Amino acid sequence: MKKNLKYTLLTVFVLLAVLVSAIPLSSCSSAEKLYLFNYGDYIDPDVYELFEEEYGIRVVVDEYAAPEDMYAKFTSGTASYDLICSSDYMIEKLIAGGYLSEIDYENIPNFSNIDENQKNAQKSFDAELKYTVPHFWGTVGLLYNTETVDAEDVKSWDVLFSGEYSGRIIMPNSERDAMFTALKKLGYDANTKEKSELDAAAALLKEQKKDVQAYLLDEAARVKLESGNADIAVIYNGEAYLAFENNDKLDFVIPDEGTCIWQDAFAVPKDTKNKANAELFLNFLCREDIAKMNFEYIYYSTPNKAVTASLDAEILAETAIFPDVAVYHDAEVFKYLGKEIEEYYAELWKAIKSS
Amino acid sequence: MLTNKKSIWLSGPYLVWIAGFIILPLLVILYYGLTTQEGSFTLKNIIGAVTDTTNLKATFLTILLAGGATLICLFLAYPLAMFLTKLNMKSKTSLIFLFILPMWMNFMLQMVAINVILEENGIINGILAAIGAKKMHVANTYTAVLIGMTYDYFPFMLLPIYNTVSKIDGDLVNASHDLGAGHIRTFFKVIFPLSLPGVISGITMVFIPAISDFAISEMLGGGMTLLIGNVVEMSFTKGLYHSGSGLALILMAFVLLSSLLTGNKGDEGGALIP
Repeated sequence: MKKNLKYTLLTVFVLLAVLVSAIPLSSCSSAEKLYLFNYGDYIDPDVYELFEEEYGIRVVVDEYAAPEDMYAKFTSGTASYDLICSSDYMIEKLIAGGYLSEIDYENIPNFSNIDENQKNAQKSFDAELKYTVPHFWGTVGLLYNTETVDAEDVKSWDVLFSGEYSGRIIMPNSERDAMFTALKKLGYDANTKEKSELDAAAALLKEQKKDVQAYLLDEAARVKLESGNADIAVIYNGEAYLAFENNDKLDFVIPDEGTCIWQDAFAVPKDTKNKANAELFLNFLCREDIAKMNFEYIYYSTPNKAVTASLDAEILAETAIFPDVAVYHDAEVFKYLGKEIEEYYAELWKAIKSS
Repeated sequence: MLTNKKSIWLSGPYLVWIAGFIILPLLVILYYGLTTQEGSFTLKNIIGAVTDTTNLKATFLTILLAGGATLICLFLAYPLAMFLTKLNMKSKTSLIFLFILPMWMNFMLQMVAINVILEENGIINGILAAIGAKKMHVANTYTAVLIGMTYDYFPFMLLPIYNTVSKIDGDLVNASHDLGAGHIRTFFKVIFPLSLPGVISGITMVFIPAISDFAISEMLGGGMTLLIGNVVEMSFTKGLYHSGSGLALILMAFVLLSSLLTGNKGDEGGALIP
């Protein structure tokens, strides 16, 4: 009987322990928090510390790799955020889905630091400028090894499909960017919804796969070039500048057929509990000194004209960071293509990867 | 002693765990797998999972790679297990420790290290270049994934086989020799049949996790190898929960089938921990 009681007590104790541990840890701390969902390593970590020092609000960051991952997690409703950062076409999709809350720009006086050209680019996904604050922008181009690759070859996207650098090419591991290179080579629009054109681009990528060393994104692709394991990578311009610092034999070029401009921006989800704090943080990010900290941490093109005005001519002339205006005006911006085409893209991408 | 009826309470904490983290997610997957986006019943996801050519290709490749890794593990582990049983206790313990050691290392580190060894300018190619031989192109290929799987799952093959082989009564082997059987005949007629439970257990423990794996192919395949696990992962990260769940159900059926084929013969003396 006594032993029995002991076991019962033990069971009760264990069950209690389970229940106690189920209480969320966040309720223990009283400091105000701001939940941010962002690409990996996209804000200087010191910025969060400064923000907490100045306003007593701790920024809790959750990170993702591809915009599609962000969308799946964000819309699953398993986590709630006060602020998200994503790319043009994905923000357009969030706006279309009614997921975003209108920003009160009166609370963001530093928004006046944003360059007018960038505000125009911003209108391609946020037509009435109601929902977003730009973070960084840039282009997609080719990072290549000047010792092993002929500079003439990389003047065209054709170099990825000619077979000349077989086994030395890194393609982006993201369907929109990978398909973009093939669509460009075929002379189609980057935002085409014609299935026949998409099929042709996918067929080209399937054929190209034998020449590709790996499908990688951002840093992973850059490291392959820096270490000399590959010779050509399709990459965002900011990564290119970091690559130069680590390997001076690398160069970045935007092929003559043109490129696409991307812009990443912040938006406030509708279900935020802390809109005022989110706007406070957005204003903080647009402040010159903070925007400069982020710029010097990432080296992507900043839309903040107060920062660009303060930069040395040498850095401003670096086309890997600030593409030529000519490039900029011809470039296309990724648009949200609608659910049907998006799913078609997913199917094509799966088929390419399995071929 | 506790009566059976009362002792069931001891499993209470685990039952809570199983309900929350195993049964509930399974039901969710079952629901998603059998419904459309609008919520009505459909078999489309299941049928799509087995008829889509991309999925079929991925399934075929998965079985090929997982099966290959299982076979390689078996051929490496069996002779090693035989060798281990012949050693004295002290060196046996330290050797087995050595083989389990990689399991203590972080999985990501293991994969990154393998990649560094296999890369174009990696360690192996560095050695090959130094002796003037031709470079190998192994990184980001099926072979790299195969090597990764073999590396990762090897201990799960070794331990069960070692356990059964070490338990074989030496008198039986001696008797076989006394009755005139040679080494080879003794192996096939006595030792191997007696070690079969361990072999089956090892095959189960390597093959089943290997067919549902997606991380090894993602990290060593450079995005070039699409296994069925990668297709499931892709579907979920792209928000295609319904077709992803349909695939997951098919994958589960595979796992269940292979455990049924091997399970009831493998449990005897084939435990993982010595």
